[in-house]
Amino acid sequence: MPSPLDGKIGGDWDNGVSVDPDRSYLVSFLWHEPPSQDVHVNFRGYPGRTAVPRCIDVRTIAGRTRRRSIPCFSDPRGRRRLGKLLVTVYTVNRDADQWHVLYAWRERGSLYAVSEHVAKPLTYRRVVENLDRLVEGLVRVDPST
Amino acid sequence: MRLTRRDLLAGGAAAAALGATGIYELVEHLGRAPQRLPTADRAPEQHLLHGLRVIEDEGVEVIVPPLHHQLVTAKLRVEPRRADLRGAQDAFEEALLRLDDDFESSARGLGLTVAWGLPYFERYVPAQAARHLPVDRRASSTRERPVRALIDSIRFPSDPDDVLLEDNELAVLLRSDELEHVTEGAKAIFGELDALFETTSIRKGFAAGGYDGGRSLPKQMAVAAGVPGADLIPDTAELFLGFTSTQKDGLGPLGIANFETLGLVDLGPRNYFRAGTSMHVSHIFENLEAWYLDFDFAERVTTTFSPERRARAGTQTVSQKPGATADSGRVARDFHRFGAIGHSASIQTTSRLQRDVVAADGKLYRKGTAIPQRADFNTLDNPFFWSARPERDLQQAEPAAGVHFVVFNPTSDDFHRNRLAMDGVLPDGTRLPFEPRARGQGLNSVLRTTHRQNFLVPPRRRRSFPLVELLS
Repeated sequence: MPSPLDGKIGGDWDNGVSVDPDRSYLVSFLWHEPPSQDVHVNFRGYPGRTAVPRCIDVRTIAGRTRRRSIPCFSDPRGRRRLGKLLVTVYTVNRDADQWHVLYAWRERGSLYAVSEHVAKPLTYRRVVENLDRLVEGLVRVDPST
Repeated sequence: MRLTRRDLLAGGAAAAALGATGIYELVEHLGRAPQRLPTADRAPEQHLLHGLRVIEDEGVEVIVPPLHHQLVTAKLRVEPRRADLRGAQDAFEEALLRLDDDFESSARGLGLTVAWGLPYFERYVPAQAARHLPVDRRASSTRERPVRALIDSIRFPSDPDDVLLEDNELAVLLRSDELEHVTEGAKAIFGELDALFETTSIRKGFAAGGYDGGRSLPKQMAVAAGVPGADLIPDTAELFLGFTSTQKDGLGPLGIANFETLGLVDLGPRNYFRAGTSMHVSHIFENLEAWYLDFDFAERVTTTFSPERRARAGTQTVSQKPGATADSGRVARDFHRFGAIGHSASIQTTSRLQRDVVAADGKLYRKGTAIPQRADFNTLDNPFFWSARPERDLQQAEPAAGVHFVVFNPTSDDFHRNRLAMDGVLPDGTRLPFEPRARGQGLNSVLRTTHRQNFLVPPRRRRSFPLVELLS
């Protein structure tokens, strides 16, 4: 994990675990230094489906609110093999992954993703290095219950 | 001369900064000068660059701009006395003529444009300016009082409150494919004539360079400088924001921005400034990370062009044909339907001819023809390469992605109309209710303007201290 994050759920940098009714989940870690420094990593899983999820883009302009369905991950910038995983790199992402670089891959009929926020003190290049290392180090854990 | 940006900030003299290259030394190594045909042209206009190569990129005709650009601003050290001014006029013209002898007026040689700010006319030749400065007929009619073709810049609705409206007396734009030509030109004027000119800022930058394949110059320069978001710029992009902006159809044809061409201007009793034009100069920061991490490709297309525009993923050169020109009604409909307007579409409501026009010389310009002749260039200045007033200009050491926006329009007000349209203030009086720098307001949410000023570009034969010879 990029320093100072330690990847411990319930630890100092735990930013929450959430599971949606469709069983998709988000595990988030955040270090924040006011006013604007962040190290923020999200792990996502979409059990039983491989399609890129949809997000709702909401904008209010001149008092009128518009909602539209858009891909949660977009602007793919190629695919890369990291260890055993073939990941697609997405640079424009939504919701909790906004302003993140996101790596997504499909495995055994499910979609998985890891993303990191591009924000000071990190640069885009450093985030990509972090994600490379992070994804290469992932270990598959099968459900125990 | 190699000076770091920090050296320059530490109080390096203007003369040293003129010859210094800093990060721009890389341009010489990274950029490859395009092949140009020789041109013997020495047109009456100073602002036109003849002989620029036209290529086809993604099926669209594109004009290849010069690689190296520099704009130097100054105030005058000359006393407002007739004899002093006449001497200064002669000395400056001699220096310019020497440069004319050394370099052809082209991108191969040196494009040299001398422009004068309103403070010059008001301080040195007020009576002559009152009589001979062109008058903008359209703006005068709208405001029911005489409005000159050269007026002070204004702050536009999307400008930050702290944008600096400058008061320089002189600006010289130097353009060439050869960095050495630009440097020699700047030194010959502001180095050797420093008794006449007190340099206030030096602004440097580059354009294009990647049409023949491989990584483009803006991409390479941004990456080398390490500016945030540089890695996200498409490899072959002409500009930092990823889209080509020198489509032939998107630039005014030669001469259209002259004062006299479209009939917008009353040239006065002696046509003193015929073949001249007006010039707007601004510096704008570009937030590349916001552009590439928060706008997906489809939204970058609709934001740059128009909400209904579609382009194949990865397209960089999008056609800008005259027949597809937007008008106020279409932009207003876009706003109500999408909550957004495109940068190009909104500006086209004033920057393109809305009907066929027969020019003063009988030439027919078709509806949809572009009027402004742009000379903008990417920069890593923050905000300038060098400033005489670093505190006022908020001069910073680290490079920053931006653009020195230089454009020639028939009048200052004509530029203002273009820029207001970019903010949703349309020529038919419609004012689209955007918050300043709203995401739907074209490119505004990723741009931040720092400085603005309008200038007058005299014709070539009157480029040195215009109107001074009329002093009695």
